[in-house]
Amino acid sequence: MNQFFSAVSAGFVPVMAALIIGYGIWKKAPVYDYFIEGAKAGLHTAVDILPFMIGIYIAVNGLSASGFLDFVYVVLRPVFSLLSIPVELLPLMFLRAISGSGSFIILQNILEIVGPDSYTGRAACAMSGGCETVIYALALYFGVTHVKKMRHALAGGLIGYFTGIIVSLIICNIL
Amino acid sequence: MNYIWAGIILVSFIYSCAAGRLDEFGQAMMNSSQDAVTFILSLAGIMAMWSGLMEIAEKTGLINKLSQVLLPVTKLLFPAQKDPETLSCIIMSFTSNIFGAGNSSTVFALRTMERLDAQNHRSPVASNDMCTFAVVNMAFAPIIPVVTVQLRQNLGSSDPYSVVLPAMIASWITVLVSIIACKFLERRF
Repeated sequence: MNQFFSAVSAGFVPVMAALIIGYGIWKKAPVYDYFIEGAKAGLHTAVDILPFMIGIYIAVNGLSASGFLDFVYVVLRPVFSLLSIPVELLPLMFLRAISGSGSFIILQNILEIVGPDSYTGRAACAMSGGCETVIYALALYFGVTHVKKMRHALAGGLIGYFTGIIVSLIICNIL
Repeated sequence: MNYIWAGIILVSFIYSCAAGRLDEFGQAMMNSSQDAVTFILSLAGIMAMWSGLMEIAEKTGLINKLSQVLLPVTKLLFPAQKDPETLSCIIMSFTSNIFGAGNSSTVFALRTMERLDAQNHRSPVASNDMCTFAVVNMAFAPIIPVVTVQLRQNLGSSDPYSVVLPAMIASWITVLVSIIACKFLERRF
C-alpha cells in the first residue's frame, strides 16, 4: 500500500509537467520559450525571499541552540501531567510550529523512546501529519509581499495549529 | 513580525547568557544563515521549473480552463477574487499540498502571495484574501504522510498506516476551523 501512495506522491510532478507541456504542444505554442521566461521569474522570487529566510532561520535555530525551549518544557511539565497529556509530546508541539526538519528529528526521537504503536507515538505522528510549520510559513509567505501588518493571519494560523494538536490527542484516544 | 522576530532573538540571547550557552547560540546564528542560503538554492531549481511550466499553462489558456472548473470551490473561500491566474495558483498550491509535494506547494503559495500583494496595491496592510489563503494553505496536509509512515515502518510498527486516518481527520478539522476562524477574525482586525 505504501508503494501505491508513494507512487501517487511521486507521480504528481511528472504528470503535471507532461499535461502542461502536452497541452501546449497541442495548441502549437512555443513551449520552450515560455518555460524559459517563467523560469527566469521563478529565480527572481527565490532571490527575493532569501533575506526573509535568513532572518527566520537565525531566529529559529538561535532559539533552539540557546536552550530556552528546555526551560519552557520544565515550566510546562506540571501543566501537562495535570491534563494527562504525555510530556514527551511537548518539544514536538513547539518545534512543529517553527521548523519542519527539526520537528521530524524530534518525532523520530519520540517514536524511538515510546514505540510507534503506543498512544503517545501515534499522537505524535498524527500531530506531525496534521500540523504545519505556522511561524515559518507565515514569515515566508508574507516575505514576498509589502505587508507590514498581517492582521489576523497569525491568530488564524495559531488557532488552526492548536486545533490540529488537540484533535490529534483526542482522535488517537478514540481510534 | 518585527516584535516576534526581535522577541525570539532577544529571549534566546538573554537565556543563552544565563545558561552559559552563548557560544552555541552564536554558532547557531552563523550556521543558520548559511543553511538558509543552501535551502533557497535547493528550492530555486524547483521554483524555476514550476514557474516555467506555469508560464506555459498560463499562455496556452490551460489555467483559465482549470480555474473555471474549480470556480465553485474557490468562490466559497475567496468570494471577491476574480483573476483566473491567481485562482489557479491558489488551486495549485492546495492540490500540491494534498499530494504531498511540499516544495511545489511553497512555490505556488509564494506566487499567490505576490499576486495578491499586487491586487492589494502593495499596501502594508494585509488583505482578507491574503490572510485566508495563508491560514488555509498552512492547515492543508498531505493525504498520506509518506515520510511519517516510512519512519514508523523502519521503527518496527505493527501497523504503520494506523496514523493515516487520525492525521487526515486532524488535518481536515484543522482546515475547517481555520476557514471559520478567518471569516470570523477578518471582521475584527
